[in-house]
Amino acid sequence: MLFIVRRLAALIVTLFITASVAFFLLEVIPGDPALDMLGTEAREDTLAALRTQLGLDTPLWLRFFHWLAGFVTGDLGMSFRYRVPVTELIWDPLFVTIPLGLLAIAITIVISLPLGALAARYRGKAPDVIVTLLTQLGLAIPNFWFAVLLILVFSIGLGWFASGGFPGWEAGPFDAFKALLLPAISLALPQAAIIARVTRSSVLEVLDQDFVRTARAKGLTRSSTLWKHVLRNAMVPVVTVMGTQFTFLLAGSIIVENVFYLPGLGRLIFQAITQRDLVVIKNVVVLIAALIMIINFLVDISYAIINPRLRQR
Amino acid sequence: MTLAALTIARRNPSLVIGFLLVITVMAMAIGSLFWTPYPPNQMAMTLRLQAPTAAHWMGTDPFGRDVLSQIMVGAQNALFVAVLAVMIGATLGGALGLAAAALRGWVEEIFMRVCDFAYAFPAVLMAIVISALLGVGATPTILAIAIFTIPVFGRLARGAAIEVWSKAFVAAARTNGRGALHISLRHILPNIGGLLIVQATTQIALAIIVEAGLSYLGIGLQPPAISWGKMLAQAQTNMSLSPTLAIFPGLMIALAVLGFNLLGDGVRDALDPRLRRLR
Amino acid sequence: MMQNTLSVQNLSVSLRTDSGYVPIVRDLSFDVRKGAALGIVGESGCGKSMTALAVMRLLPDSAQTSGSIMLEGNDLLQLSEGAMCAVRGARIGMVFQEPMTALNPAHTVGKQIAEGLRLHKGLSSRAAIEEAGNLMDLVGIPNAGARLSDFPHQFSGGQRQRVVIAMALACKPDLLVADEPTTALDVTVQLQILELLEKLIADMGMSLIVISHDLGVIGRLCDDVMVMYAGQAVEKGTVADVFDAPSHPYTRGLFGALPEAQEDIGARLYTIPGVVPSPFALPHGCKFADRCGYVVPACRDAEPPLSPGKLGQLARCIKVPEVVA
Repeated sequence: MLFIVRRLAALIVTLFITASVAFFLLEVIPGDPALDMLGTEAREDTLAALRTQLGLDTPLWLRFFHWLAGFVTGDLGMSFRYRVPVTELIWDPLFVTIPLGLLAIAITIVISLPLGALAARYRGKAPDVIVTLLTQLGLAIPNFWFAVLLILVFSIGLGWFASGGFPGWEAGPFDAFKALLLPAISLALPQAAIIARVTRSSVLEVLDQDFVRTARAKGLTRSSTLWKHVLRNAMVPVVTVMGTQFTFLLAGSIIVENVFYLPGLGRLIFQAITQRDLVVIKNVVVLIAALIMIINFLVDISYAIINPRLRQR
Repeated sequence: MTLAALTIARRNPSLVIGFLLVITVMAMAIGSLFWTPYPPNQMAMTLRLQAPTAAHWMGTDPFGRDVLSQIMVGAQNALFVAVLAVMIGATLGGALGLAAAALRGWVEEIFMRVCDFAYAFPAVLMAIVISALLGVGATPTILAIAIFTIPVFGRLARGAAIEVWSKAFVAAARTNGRGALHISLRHILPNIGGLLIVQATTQIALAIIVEAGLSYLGIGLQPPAISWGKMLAQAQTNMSLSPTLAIFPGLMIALAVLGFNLLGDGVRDALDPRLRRLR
Repeated sequence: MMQNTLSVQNLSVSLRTDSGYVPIVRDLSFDVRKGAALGIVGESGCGKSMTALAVMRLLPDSAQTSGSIMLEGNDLLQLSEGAMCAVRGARIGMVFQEPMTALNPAHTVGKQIAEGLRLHKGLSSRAAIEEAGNLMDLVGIPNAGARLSDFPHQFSGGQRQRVVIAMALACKPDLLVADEPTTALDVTVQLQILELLEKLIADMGMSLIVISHDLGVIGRLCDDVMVMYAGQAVEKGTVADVFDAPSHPYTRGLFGALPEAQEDIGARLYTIPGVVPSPFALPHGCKFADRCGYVVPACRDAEPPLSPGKLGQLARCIKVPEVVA
């Protein structure tokens, strides 16, 4: 329990630092949001009124705490560009990005764990060589190119999928799922390559340990030893790496959502940049960073569940 | 000579294949400084979206520009951005890591916390913030890649340097009255140099992917500079008309990244043969 | 023939390395009598652990094995991998050297003991856990029932070794192979584990192979002994005969009873001079010649055969009379 409390405290401190850095960095950007919103022909008194309305005339530190309080209570401010609350703006995209990420994780796990374990089981033999080659390719192929290739084959060539866009969850779970499948596969590719590598070396390491021989001495076959004794122990480093991979998954989703024109968080933040909608950028960046840190925190906690020895400390 | 090369190829195929791929990409990049089949931005509207022909080995783009020429110039830009960014990041990160290892105490503590913080920002997110601050183009791209490279080298250099600091020859240098700066540069750095070079090689591969990704999104290199990522974005809109257009830029990114990754693995194995056995 | 639980004939094991096959065990033959304990003794690297693993058929994939290993008349080396899995744990149990690492840190000890019972005896998981509790009680773990759901790290080293022994005994095997069962434990715990093993063998009437570099352990537990050097048996016989009149210079060396030793080193702990020959470059003739105080030119001509020693044992030496004189 103590260790959870300690990690939680560290998490809150890091989140606070992240939020302040993001706030002050994006606050010092030259330019006048009021002018951006109303255009250069706006009258000076209208501009001043809007600045007051946006709170731009109060001191920086006051604005920071105002914003932070809002952020914590779920008020992410108002988009300069769309004139709607940011919370409203990110609501629908969340239901694209999060399912996309989860689907990508599921695909990553389904592909990489068996491949990594297979390579370790047949170390130095043909399956190992093939998996090693595949992982090198998976690391080298950028996921947006892989996405383009998938579109080329499955959308343009075979016509099985739309080449982009999202019908919305109203269109039914099947259609929504179908629209997310190719993006999730391309998002999963580099992740799967990394996790397969880590799984392989982790399984190899565990296979060398004494308790594996004990299990075999009990009469377990190679494969049931692998399933019952090796994999669970081998999962500890794999989960660690998977935790760090969430960061890249979210980053990847910014690109992949743009390849497939998916209306997710990544596309939202990208559009906010091209439109210089700073409130959106600030809040979504902090939101994504916070998501990453919270996930890393959860990963830390999940070690304790996988590895009973950690629970004691 | 050939026999020796064959032995190396059998013992360490990563090194040989990686080296050949990197040399090929470099040759393209350097070659493009002196010669390309056509001027890379020369448009020819009569030759739009051609499939590969004898005159245009990789076909032409929607403006009739020669894809091979663009690919060659793209290699130049990809390497320039990636190598420069990694050099900046590695130098700064390496220096900070060495300093943290030399000074220890609160300097090290602050440095490590900043690294932790920087790790929470993926490269693309960092680049997005930077492009929001500084605009788009080659310089922000290089800066963005350099900034997320700093903590990678910082942590690596610090960890390795701390180990070297505990060695006897460092203690000898200290008793001779050498200062921390002298020891860091003359004794520590040469001992962790190999490690940093291996990391730099792998990091260049990552930088190539990030640059291409940012350029694909339109927040990396800007026209008229040619980037493989941007070529890919353009190819996507014309994909149903000319599928080959989407093949070559992606293939080049993949080969360049594969090359640097394999080279990194190969050099690491060559430096530490014991590790190869274990893998 | 049938009074032997295990009969090993001409066993050879070599390992594939970058520079070809390296012999680890060479032409080894020994029997384990029914209800008796055989000790295998030698320095580290002499092939004794490899012999144990060969009996279990748990050698690394790079190993090549020849000869025969008869368990109650069936050659284990001829069995399919599936049939061998039915032998391991059920008919041969094994206790390992390192109780710290021999148990899976992620499973409770109860589950680990029960695993073999479920596999070989087809017990339900409830019945197997219950039996695991009985076994933990049998090997002397206090409050056994309550500790079934504890993880290995919650046990002391000696207790873990008891758990490992309980696992090996779970299915009442015909043969127990114990590879340095006390080496990793501290002295008082060593004694407790020896007493436990002694009691269990007597109660259960199974055969035992004890592998150790410690003659004290062998003398205490075993009826027969085989001394190994460079992958070979250099002396074998009953414990009584071998301990009373060691007939191979190496065995004498192990007892610290070579004449030179007493002169040169005096009261210091005796070690045999020289090093074990590398299996990559075994010398011609007697493998011990380079370290032997009795060496004569003839020793290097050909490998000596096993020949009668002073008492009932066999020794691989051409100078037995001088050695025992």
